[in-house]
Amino acid sequence: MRGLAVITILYAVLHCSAQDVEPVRKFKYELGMQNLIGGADGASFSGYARVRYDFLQLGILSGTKSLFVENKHGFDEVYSQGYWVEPSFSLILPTLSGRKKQISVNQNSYVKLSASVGFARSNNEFRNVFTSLGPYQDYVNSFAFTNRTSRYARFSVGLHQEFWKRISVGYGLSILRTWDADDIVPSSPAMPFVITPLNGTSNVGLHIDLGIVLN
Amino acid sequence: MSVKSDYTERLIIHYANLDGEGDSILLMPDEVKDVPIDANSSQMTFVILNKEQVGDTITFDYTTSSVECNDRYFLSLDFPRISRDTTNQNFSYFPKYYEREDLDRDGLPQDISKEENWPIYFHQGILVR
Repeated sequence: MRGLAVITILYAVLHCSAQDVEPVRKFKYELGMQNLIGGADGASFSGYARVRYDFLQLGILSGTKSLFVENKHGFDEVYSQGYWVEPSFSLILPTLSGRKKQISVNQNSYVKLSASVGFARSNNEFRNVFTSLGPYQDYVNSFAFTNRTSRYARFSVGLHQEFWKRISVGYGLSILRTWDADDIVPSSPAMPFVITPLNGTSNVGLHIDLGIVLN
Repeated sequence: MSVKSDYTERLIIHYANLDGEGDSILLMPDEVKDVPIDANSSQMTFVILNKEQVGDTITFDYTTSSVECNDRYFLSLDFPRISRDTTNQNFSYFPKYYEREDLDRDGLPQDISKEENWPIYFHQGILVR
């Protein structure tokens, strides 16, 4: 992941410095979908809406995820479902124009630094299934933990490119730091899962953005 | 729950939960068999009959829970009580914990076969004599 980060930044600097840039002096609206890869429980998908003016971009991202895990924390089955809402603030790095010899913001190809805070809410059910003998049904004992709130902070860097002034594609690295509003130790057996865009042992993931520029 | 027989003839055990759902098993002399307990119910009824179809009825009341021990969960039958039909005692029944009917858990002499109710402790089961 660190190597990929270095390659991404190097490529971004070389790529952007070679561009003829035009400043963005109007609001640009974008809708799209983000895929975050790197969690132990598979990729997550979020929808986002963003508005950009010059080198600033504000956005909001939201997604949902469901998990089914077996043999976790002494439980036979764990069902988790959660969603998150994540407002973000992004800074689009200015680049040096090759022809005009001035620093400006590239309209179509740029490096973006983002910081955001996510608010997540999770519903979990921990189940133990005891196999029965004879004609009787299995005995299922379940513990429900609903409306578990948590928060996370995300920092990301990525390369973004716009094609035909309509299609926005980007990729980069995201680092998440998750903590619980309830201050429950995550390793505790009674701890329900917290659903975030990046569940897993690693807190670094690769994000891929695909969006449509509305204007 | 295990059922053990010291009886010299084969026995038939009919078991059913509160809804009457159950089955029958054949218990041979000196044999130990597991009789299913419906953990989704709160009562099991066992009718133990000899080959002449004569016998007694035992009712087993309990509650079910899950107990954690060393990060694992086990099924627990709580507050187990056994009630015997005392009107027609063809056999003697003992909790399986009491392998010797004349000694209780503390090793003190006691004829527990005379009691109508007795608890089932760690070794849940019935000894038929």
